Amino acid sequence: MPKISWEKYEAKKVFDEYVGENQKLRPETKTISNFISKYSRKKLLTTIKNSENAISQRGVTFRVYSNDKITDHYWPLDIIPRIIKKKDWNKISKGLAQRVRALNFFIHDVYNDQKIFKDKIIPKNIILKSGNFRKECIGIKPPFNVWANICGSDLVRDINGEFLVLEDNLRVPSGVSYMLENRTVMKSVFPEIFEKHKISPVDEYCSKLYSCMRSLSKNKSNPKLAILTPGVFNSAYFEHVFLAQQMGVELVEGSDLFVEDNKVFMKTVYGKEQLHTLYRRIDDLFLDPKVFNKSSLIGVPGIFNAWKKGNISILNAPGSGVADDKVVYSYVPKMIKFYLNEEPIINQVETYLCHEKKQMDYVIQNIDKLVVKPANESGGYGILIGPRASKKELDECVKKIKRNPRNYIGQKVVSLSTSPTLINNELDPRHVDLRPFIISGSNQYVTQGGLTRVALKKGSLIVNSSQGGGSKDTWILDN
Amino acid sequence: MLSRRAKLLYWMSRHLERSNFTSRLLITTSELQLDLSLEDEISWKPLLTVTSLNKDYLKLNKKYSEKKTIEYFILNKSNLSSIFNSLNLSQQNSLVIRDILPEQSIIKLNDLILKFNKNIKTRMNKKNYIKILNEVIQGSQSFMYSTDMEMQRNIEYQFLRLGRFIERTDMMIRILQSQSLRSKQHKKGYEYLTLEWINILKSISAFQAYRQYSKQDITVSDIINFFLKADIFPRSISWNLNQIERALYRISKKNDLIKKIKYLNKKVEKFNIKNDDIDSLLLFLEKTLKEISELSYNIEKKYFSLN
Repeated sequence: MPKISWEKYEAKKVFDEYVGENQKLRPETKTISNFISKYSRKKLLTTIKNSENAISQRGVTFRVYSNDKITDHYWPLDIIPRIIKKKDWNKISKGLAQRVRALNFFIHDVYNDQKIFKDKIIPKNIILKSGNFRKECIGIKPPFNVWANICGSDLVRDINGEFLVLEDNLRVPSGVSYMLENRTVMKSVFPEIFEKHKISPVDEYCSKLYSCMRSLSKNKSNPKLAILTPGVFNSAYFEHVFLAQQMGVELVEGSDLFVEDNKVFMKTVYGKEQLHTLYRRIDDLFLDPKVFNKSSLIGVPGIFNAWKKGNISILNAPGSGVADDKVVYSYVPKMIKFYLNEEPIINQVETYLCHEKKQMDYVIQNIDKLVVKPANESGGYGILIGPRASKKELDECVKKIKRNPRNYIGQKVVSLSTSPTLINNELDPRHVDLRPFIISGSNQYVTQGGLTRVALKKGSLIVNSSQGGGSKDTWILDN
Repeated sequence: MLSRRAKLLYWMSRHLERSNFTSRLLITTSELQLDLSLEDEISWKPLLTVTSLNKDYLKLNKKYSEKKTIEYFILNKSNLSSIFNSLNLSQQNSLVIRDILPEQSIIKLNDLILKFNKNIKTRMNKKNYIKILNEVIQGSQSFMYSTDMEMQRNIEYQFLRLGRFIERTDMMIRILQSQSLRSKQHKKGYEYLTLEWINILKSISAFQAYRQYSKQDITVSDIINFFLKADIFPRSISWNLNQIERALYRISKKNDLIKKIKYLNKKVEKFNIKNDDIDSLLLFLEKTLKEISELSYNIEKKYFSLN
């Protein structure tokens, strides 16, 4: 059987993670490239099979809802890792920490002093009109004044290889369990490489999250911690269980909790037990039917007031989604300057705000060259990629923008970098992004690398697993 | 521990144990039929009767046959106790509470179910079903071993054990009932009656243990006494009741259910079968099964009612 060949691999027009100019392998990718090129095709197929078996045995799945149908899929992992130099990562890591620090200052400011509006850095009405602004949170001061304790920022690499922030997920970012599972599987299929090379470990995440949850508890001696899940039918349930398992905390559903005297209790086999810190994995609109969505069946009536009184800590704090808005995103560089008096360490994608007349006109005139995104959606839904859209799709998008300009932004198309991916057992370039995770409490922690998501369809830029995306393990390599 | 999750863990454990013992029941009956050339009805009807599935089976099938009964117990989706349903219910529960279970145990369980689902699609024929059933037994034992090796002896572990031993007691009683009913179907003086009971011992891997335990000549009464009272044999009724008592004690020392289980165990110790009197045995087994079912109801009421 012929061996896998790098000679046939051809990356075009965009930055490729493995090969540079003249199709030469980048120095940091040589180890794995040489290693794989020695594999016979038979050995490669066995390795792929081993990784698939490990995933099915470990029960690593994700759930997709489409046309009212629920289907569970095994997690798609491509065994060719994405590689980033340690030196590059250190800079990105600092940039992410800086960015999330500024975002937390911003959220706290919005619900308290509102200095940023008074100094006219951001127009007040834009924020107050945001679908994620919660007026009920005004005046609340969570521990350490940190609202978004867990952030998952999406990074892309432009044609020059520069990492840019595409968006910050501050509500209930998911994917970290897959990052950790990918590493476990990769260690089992490529133990030889892990033995010989310095690949930064990622296993610390859960202990850091646990420390953060513990530090937020008022009860210091014996805090009771839990993760709140909407239930087994939620698409991220695998992750909720994974995190509870790794941290040894309870995994609760809304119906397992109740509020008495503004304190939250769990229904245990011994009766009621007070809960001190809750990592909620449901949207804040569903958290408390007494305060937000009255029809919510997955929330806990009265929990908002318990939180307001300081009797329970909630991560991410209700209301933190106000900064998870693609319009707010465009102001992050200004926030960094305003709150930290620093220059942004990582840049972001140039963004046009449709609520400003001039910028909206520009977006409409150039819609076939831009990416248009709804301000408050996630999961890749509602995105229009101008250069690939039909005339009908473009016209419909223009109508939507005109109807609700505040809800749309335009961005220049960033041709996501590509990384070699095994497609029908041959290496072929596919577009990738990267989602690192940042934990903030009394300290900050940034994961070593993150979840690399890959668009498995040729030429596609949509990396979400719910829409046909796959994943890769991300190796931060110390040469 | 949350009431809701304790219930899921308890039932996950019961479903898995049920799949193990249903497999044993099927292997026992199949081997018995093979060894003694028994008619289909004599072999399989008792098994359907003691599992309260006779009526449902006859709705789907005109007569008793090895193939149909085996398929009914392994695959049938309308039979809630079929191995297919038991394993899948067990897996569904495990998905919800997988954070409580050790990683290796989850891998063992998933492996068992992946293999089973593949086997029933590709290998389900007479030649192979004993192999499939043995794999279910091995897979569920491998899961149990893994939980025993890796779980802390905390409350979660006790609920896991509680489910396991309640189901095991229930299924052991049904195995005894099934053979008792079979015994009754034979004419007086049937020469292979003792041999049938020995077969039951062998098929649940208990013959060696029985020989080590009992130093008397083999009689039906002696074998039955062993199944009921051998408190060092991990599938006897007495041993299982002791395990239930221990798990309940570890969950809560002040526990009114412990008194009930002690009382039940005393009744098992006192019961003496004389002259191979199968009728008195059947009556006793029926009463014991009812008490186990009441105990299970009381456990649900006491620990899972906050759910």
